[in-house]
Amino acid sequence: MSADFAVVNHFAVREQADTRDEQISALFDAHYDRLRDLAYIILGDRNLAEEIVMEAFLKTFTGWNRIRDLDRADAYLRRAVVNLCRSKIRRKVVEARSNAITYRRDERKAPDWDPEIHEESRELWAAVRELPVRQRAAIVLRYVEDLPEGDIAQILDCSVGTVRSQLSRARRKLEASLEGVMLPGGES
Amino acid sequence: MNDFDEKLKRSLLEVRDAGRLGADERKAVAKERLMRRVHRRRWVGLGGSAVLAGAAAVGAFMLFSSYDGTQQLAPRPDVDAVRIPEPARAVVEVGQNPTHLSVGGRRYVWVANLGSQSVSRIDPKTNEEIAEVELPAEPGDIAIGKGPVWVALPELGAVAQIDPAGETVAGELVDIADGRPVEDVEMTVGAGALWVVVKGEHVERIDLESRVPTRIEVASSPTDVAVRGELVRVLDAEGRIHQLDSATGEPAAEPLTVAAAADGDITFAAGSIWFFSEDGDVIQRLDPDTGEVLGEIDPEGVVVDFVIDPEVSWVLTRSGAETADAEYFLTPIDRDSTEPAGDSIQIDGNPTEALIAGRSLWLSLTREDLVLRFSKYR
Repeated sequence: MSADFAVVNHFAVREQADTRDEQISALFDAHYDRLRDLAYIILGDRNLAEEIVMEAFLKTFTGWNRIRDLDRADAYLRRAVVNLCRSKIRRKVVEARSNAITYRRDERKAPDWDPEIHEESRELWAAVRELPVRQRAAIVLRYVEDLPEGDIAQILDCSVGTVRSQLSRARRKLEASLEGVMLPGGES
Repeated sequence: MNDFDEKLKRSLLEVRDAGRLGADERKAVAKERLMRRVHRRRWVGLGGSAVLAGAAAVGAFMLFSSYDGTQQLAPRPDVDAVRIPEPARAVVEVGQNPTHLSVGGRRYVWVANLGSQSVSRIDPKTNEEIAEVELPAEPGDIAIGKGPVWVALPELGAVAQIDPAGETVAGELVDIADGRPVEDVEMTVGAGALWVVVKGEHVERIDLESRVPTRIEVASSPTDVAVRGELVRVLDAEGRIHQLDSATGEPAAEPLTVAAAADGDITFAAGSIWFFSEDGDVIQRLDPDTGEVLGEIDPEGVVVDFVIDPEVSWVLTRSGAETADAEYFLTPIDRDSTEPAGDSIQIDGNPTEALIAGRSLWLSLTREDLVLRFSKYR
């Protein structure tokens, strides 16, 4: 429970809050896109991914006093997003609520989106989303976020050895499930 | 990086890029919503004491806070969005995504709000939320004895104690899983302790006086706990009801046997054990000594929750899969015949938990951010 909620000096609260709001706003601008990407690839649901990122920022707000180094806030946020994704998948709670601007299928028809590759990548993505959630998160953190195994271990709250074994198992499963599927690069 | 790794990376980056299409417009909306919710949380946190101090304090807070009065608070659905079925008497607006309900001292009703990471206290005299207590993580189950309110925090692997008078988290969190997040938690108060089932893992007995937890390794995959007198009954996923001495945690009698269920629930009422599986289709009444099935309730649809008091029992059911257009029904059940004792009430909304408190039945509507109250329902 953050202690500042017990403060009754509203002037002091306002000053602290204004600074905090500015910092949260800056954090949002700096990290929102990557966090949404991360949640989207793990969950496969655009609205839910945005809700998850929203919750991660709100958690950051709630636990503000526990963040000692703002330069590491991205790590805190990333961990919050991954944990929320895991939690969401485990509980199968679907709270996706449409935003004011809803996703339209036509948006996929962007000029730089090759329909052939799109379909094949979707096959692979579907296989990724069949993985157990920890393996799924490890794969996304490694291949999309380019994080070293040590950082992934911190986010997933496990040892580096566990990350290696999770990645290895995930790769084997993906290779097996994608046997025969044409992947980007033109090889099967 | 080998060929497969490179292909995997390329594919995932393409998926990522596809996910970004149209995202910039939504980002601006998301930021606006985030800042509004940040403002609202501050408003709720400070507003709790301000409300107690009276309208003047609220006014002063709003005047001096960065809440400028023009921003809307977090959106809630209109109350009209939920048809109030007869004989519902009240609709209470609470925090976001209310789930678990419990009743405690002074007959306040407490509800855990998953989305807003808080618990709401409802005054049954006015049918209003009179306090919302912020928590450091999403709340799970709530249990209340004669004293404080206990709230599980599965993400932190801990339980928090809330001082009903102070409307704050009291003291340190009590660890129930060596600091790890856990999947889900069920709790009940009895025999001088808070009994916590860390689903699929173990049971913790937390002494109500000292708050010291003691781990009880009982079978595999415990799913629920019920306490009556000095006997603690722990249900596991393999369908065994373990009977433990509340003081020692040691087996006090042979386990009873029911159907295996990954998410089974048990409760003790009217001299019987009642067993059902969430999303199952039957509720069984068992002899507490022999485990013999004394009766079965076989409602239409799948069981979402089942509540029972000395006079009546109700079953909350869903028409099918948990989809947005699923239909929910509340049906009174005659305990002796285990047959429906009246017409079902259709609930518009998404109820997840029911509670009997006094002469009222309460339902949490998770997606609507509301709690429904049915009074004089007998």
